[in-house]
Parts: sequence; C-alpha cells; structure tokens
Amino acid sequence: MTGRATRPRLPEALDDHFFEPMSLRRLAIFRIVVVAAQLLLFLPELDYQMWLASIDDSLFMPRAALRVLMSPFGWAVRPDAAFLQMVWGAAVVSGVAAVAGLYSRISLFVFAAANTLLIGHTYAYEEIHHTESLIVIALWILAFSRAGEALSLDALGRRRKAVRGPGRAEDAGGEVRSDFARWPLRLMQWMMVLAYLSAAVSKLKHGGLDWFNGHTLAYFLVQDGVRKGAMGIAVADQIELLVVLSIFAFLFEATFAAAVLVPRSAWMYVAWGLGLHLGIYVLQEAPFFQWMVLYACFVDELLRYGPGVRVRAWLARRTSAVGPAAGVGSPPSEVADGIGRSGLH
Amino acid sequence: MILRKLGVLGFCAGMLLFQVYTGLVETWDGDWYWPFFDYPMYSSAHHPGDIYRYAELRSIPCDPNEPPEVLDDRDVRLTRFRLYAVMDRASGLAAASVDETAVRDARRFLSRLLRARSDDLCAAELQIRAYHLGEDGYASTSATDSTVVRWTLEPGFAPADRHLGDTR
Repeated sequence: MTGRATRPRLPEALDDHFFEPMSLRRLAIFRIVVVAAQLLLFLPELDYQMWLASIDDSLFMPRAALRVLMSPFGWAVRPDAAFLQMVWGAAVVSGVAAVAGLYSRISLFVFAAANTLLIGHTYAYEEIHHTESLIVIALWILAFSRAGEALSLDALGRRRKAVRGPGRAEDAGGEVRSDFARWPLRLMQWMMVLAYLSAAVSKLKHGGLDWFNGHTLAYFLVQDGVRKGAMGIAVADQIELLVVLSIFAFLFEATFAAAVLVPRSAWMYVAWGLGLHLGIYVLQEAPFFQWMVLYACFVDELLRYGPGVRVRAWLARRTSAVGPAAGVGSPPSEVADGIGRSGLH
Repeated sequence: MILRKLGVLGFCAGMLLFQVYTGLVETWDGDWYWPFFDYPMYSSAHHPGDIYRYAELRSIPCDPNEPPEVLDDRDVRLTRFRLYAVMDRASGLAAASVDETAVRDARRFLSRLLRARSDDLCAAELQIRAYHLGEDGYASTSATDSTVVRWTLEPGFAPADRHLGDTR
C-alpha cells in the first residue's frame, strides 16, 4: 500500500491472467460441452441409486458434501428412494435448461447440486472413484459464472431488450466480450493442474523412483486385467515398453501446468492428455472420460493457437494470393486475436 | 468492477487452496472433503516377486447335488470396493495388521450376507488366485496358483442379522 488515496490496482499479471476480456461465447461453449456430457453420458444411473437406497443402513457413511446438501433434513440423513428419484428428475430438467441456457444461473445451480448429491450418495457406501470429482467442481464453477450469457435462450431474450452489464463490450464481429468470461476457464485449468500434480507427487512419494521400473505398471495391468478383463494384461511382460509408458504418464502429470502458462502449448497437452486417457482406458479400463471432456476449458487457447488456426491462416493466405476480393483473405478474428501473443496472460 | 474482481479472485484462491490442501497435504481422511481430494491411485511401487491376489466369493448349497454359485457385489448387496475389502480380510491374506479377530468378523459378515440371500446355504468359499510377477513382468504362461478358504455358515441367525437383504 502506498498510502495514496488512489484506488488500489490488482497486480497486472494476475488481472490479465484471470480477467483479460474474452468472448462470452467461449465460456458458453464450455458450459454446453460440460453440461451436455454430464447429462447425456455421466449422469448417475437411477437404477443404481435405487439399489443403493435399498442396502443396509450400517453401510451408509456420507462425506461432507452429501451431509451439507442433506442438512435441511438433518445432519447425516440418508436420502430415501423417493427423494433420490426427485433429485434425479431435477437433474434432468435443470440439465436440459442449462444446456439451452434457460434461466441459466438457477438451472446451473440446481444441476450442480443434484449431481453432487447423486454422486455423493454413491460415494457414501465406500465406492470412491476419481473420475467424477473435477466435473462436479466444474459444474459449481459454471453456476457462479456468466456462462449463460451467450449461446443461450437467456441471451436471446436479453438481446431483444438490449441490456448490457458492467465489464461487457461488443466487438466488431458482434460477440459480447467480458472481463468476467475468462476466470471460470482459468480456474478450471488450474484445478486440473493441481489434480494431475497430486497424482505425480503421490507417485514420487509412495513409489519413488521404483515407480518407473516397469514392474509397477505390469502389476497394475495384471490387477485390472484380472478384475475387469482389461486387455493391458497382454502387455504385462513388455517391461521396456512399460518403463517408457510410466515416464510418459508421469511427465504429462508433472508438467501439465505448462498448458496454462504457455498457451501455445495447450493444444499439444490436450492431444497428449486425450491419448493418455484413451490409452489408460484401453489398457486398464479406467474411464476418465470426464477429464477428457473438461479439456474444453482450453477452448480459448485451442481457438487461438490450435492447429486449425494455422490451417485456416494458410488457406486465407492462399486465397488472397490467388485473387483478393473484398473481405476475403483477412484472417479469422481468432487468428488475428492470437498471433503475436504468448506467455502468461 | 474492482470489488467484483476481488471477489472472483477470492473465490478462485479459496477453491485452489482447498484443492492444494486436500490434494497435496495428506494429513486427514482422504475423501472426506470430496469433490476436493487427492489422486494417489496406482502410486505404490511393485517389484519382481510381488504377488497380486484376486478373491472370488462362492456360496455352497446344503444340497451336494447343487453346484456352488459365484457371487458378485450386487448379489450380496455391497458396493464393489467394499466387497473387495471384506474378502481381503476374510481370506486372511491381507496386510499383517489384520488379526484373527478381524478375519473372523469379516467371515461372519459375509456369512450374514449369504444367509440373507438364502437359507439353503451351508458354507462359504473364497477362491483366491495368486498372480506372480517375475523378472520379465507377467505373461499368461507365468505361474498362477489357487487357494480355497472355506468356512461353514452358522445356523440360526438373529432376526436383526437378516435385514441386510431386505428391500426398502
């Protein structure tokens, strides 16, 4: 603090990193991808919820999230079948509304709460998995964001009334840009970085350098092959290959922060991550599809620096070389937006 | 707008710090704060000579002409990981810290679940297959041996023990 009477300013790098103006459409794309995937692919099965509601009371050990959501009815109250049916129905209705962007803020809140309750209920019976946690966090982040202000029925209605909020401006292409469009994506990116880092640190802490000896991965391939019938057991005798795969996986987890700090590298990390999770699924049947969906939080970096941008720029140059006409040959706005920018922003 | 930005930054900092605490500082029950938690899966190291054991639960009918039935988690009304943990204890092959009392309790628990399923069962059986990791990893030709642990189901359970199989 300088003691001057001027308004205090946020450090510029932090301000740029979280609040650099961005099209609300890109945040809306993240909303649509994540909510639609959770609704159509990952919503907990109602039959399984009903089955869980029927097993013995002594097995019910709710974690904090479920206790908080059920707290209006008492601490550690167990949801019954009728209540779970109602929550599941609310998840479907609010999910459809959230994808369409109808009453976005409310529908996103209800969708996040309903999914947290249903998944939290599943986890109250010692069946804990690591696949759902990040997408649940993403749903809550979306609920607190302006994700419903573009590509939505709400936006359509608002445009008719021509209402603009603070920190918003319309660019030349007619897209609404906002200082508050970027932070949900940034936050989600850093949550992914921390999750991958946690996995990398655990490997070093619990396994040490022996984790990379190939036999470690062979053991887990046998375990998943026997338990789930995963096909990785077929390569459990390829120790050299498994050493390479171990290093490959660890490097990805340990360096994922580069995807955020060096935006031009994001598309490579997204491709690497998709390959890694697909490989893990094929070899071990560990379904981290939710995490693959969450790579949509790099939508801005992919649109600015992804391979598609280079291809479009090259096509635009060729078109203009052949014979420029009015409006033809100028790069798309994402290209113009992205070229020449790098580093932490 | 500056206040709004500060609010957003506070929210982001809170979320990230909580994830750092739950993901990187392991000083508490790992999954209590779900969806914030750590990712230690597949993080232990293994070496040549290590053995992976897989247990399968079977119920043995009293009628010797009836074949044993292989049971999964749904059959005994447990979640999958819970069944794995109980079978591990009941087999007596789990960590050295599992004593005889824990083994007996686990077997009694499984007996209750089987009794709740049918009155016509006389014994429970765990078939445990051991997969040995060699110098070259594990191949389908590698040594795999099998052990059977069997115990009789005590007749006559108190009504309170029977409700495990009831449907609400």
